[in-house]
Amino acid sequence: MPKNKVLIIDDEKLIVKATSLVIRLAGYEILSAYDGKSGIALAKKVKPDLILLDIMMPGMDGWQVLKILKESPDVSDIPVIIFTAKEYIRGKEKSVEAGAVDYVTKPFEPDELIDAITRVLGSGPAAASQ
Amino acid sequence: MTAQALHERYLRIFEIGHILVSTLDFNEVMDLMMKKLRDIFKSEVSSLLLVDPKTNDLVFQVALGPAEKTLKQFRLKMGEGLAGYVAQEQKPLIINDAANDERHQKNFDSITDFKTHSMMVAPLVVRNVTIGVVEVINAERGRFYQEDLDALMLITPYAAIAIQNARYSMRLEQMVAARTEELQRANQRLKEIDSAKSEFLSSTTHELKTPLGAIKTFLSVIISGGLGPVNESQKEILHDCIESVNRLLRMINSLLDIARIEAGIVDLDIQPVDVEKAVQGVFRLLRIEADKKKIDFSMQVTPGRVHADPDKLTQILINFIGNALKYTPKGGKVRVEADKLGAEWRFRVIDTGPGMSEEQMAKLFIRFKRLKDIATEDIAGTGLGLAISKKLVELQKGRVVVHSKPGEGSTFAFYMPTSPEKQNDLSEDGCNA
Repeated sequence: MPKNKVLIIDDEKLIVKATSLVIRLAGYEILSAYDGKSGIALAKKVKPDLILLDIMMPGMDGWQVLKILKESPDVSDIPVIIFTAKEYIRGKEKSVEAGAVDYVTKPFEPDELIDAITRVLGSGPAAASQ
Repeated sequence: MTAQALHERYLRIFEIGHILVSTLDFNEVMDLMMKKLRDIFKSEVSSLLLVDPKTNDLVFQVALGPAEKTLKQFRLKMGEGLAGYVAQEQKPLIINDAANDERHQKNFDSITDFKTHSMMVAPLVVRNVTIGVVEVINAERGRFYQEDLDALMLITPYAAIAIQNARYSMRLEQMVAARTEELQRANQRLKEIDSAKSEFLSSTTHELKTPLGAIKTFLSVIISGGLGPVNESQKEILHDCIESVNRLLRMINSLLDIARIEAGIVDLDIQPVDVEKAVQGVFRLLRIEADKKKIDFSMQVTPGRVHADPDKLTQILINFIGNALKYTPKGGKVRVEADKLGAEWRFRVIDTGPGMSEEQMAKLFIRFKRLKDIATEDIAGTGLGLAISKKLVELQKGRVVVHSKPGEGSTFAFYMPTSPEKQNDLSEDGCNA
């Protein structure tokens, strides 16, 4: 059974490693990119089912990446969860306004992150039959 | 000179006094004064030379007559020429045959193509210091008499004072302008420092929390058995590790809270907040803690809305209620109340803990001061919580009040405005912290 693919875009390699571990153990397939530009390229190439997007990244920040993703017809439908170490006032609302579906702050509880992913992708890691 | 003519002359001299105290611009006043003097003494040339305070040279401020522009470029040293002589000696002079006077600067005549014969030169002196010289000049010999000089000397002391005052006020204006510029620069610098501080704080948060976050996630994965079976004693150690990481994260958050508050960069999102929901949320969160210690934990809230930042209100409530639960012994009571008193909401957390003396209460809100004399050795905390809560209440135009006595428990109250206009103007006795 094909697994749902989650793409994480975050410049902190250790965070990517830890988060990937949690997501993989929950049964999802995980892909990663360490900056906005390669994240967008990878999203266009593999069309993941969900994107976890960090905000504070050198070069292009997460808000810029989100804008480009939402303006690109081939990937604009892919749901994005903002995944940030900086807590924003009305972070969830701000994220939704910018085109994301949810907002998770780091450090995160593994269950909290998996719950957020499950809410977006449906009941579990298995991809919907095409 | 007839009495009538003399009288008229004095009247015209006094008119200069009016010009000197007028609101006209300094250059205009000086021009007008010299024109009047030239006319009063029926002369061809009149000039005003002022002492440049930096070089002590005499510089033409006004030069009415031929070659005004050329003359204005000239400077005379103290003692140089008749003007320089008068400036130095501080005594007025009448010269009725300048061509034969050694002190006269003859090159001025060739420059201006004017033959000076008669001259009146009077010093402008304020407090024994020469600030300039007035000259009235004619091309005819023998034009000036002592009565002319007397008339001129009627006005020169006032002209001198007027010039000095104008210079002071100009200097003052320059100083004010310079200071204003300095202040603006300092202000700009402060803004830059402030934004650098804010930048530093947010990058520090990131740098400190990121590795701790990764450690916490790895530990959580291991303890969940995701990477293989974990036995009970391993689990216990992993659990302690996670707790330690959480403690460090809380500490970092508190330090950053304090730093943000002190740097004045707290973002507040003030809005009407449902009091019942806010208190209930915290109550549910801390219920587990209360149950563990078998504390009689209750709440009573009047429905309504308070004007506050919802996240900060939650943080304050967690701190106050959390403290009460922390310090109240097993089987004690903690009660949370919120009610509306006039223009304010009163939130109270009442416990049956050990209570505090006046002396202890005075130290309550000082950073890092934990009450060591109460049995707090085994109670975890950073000593920052209350200091942060108090500042957060005050930033939202509220205030904190504590009532306590040793052996009689404590009541921590904070008052918040019901609407943005209401200020913290109610007072109550007790430890008004």
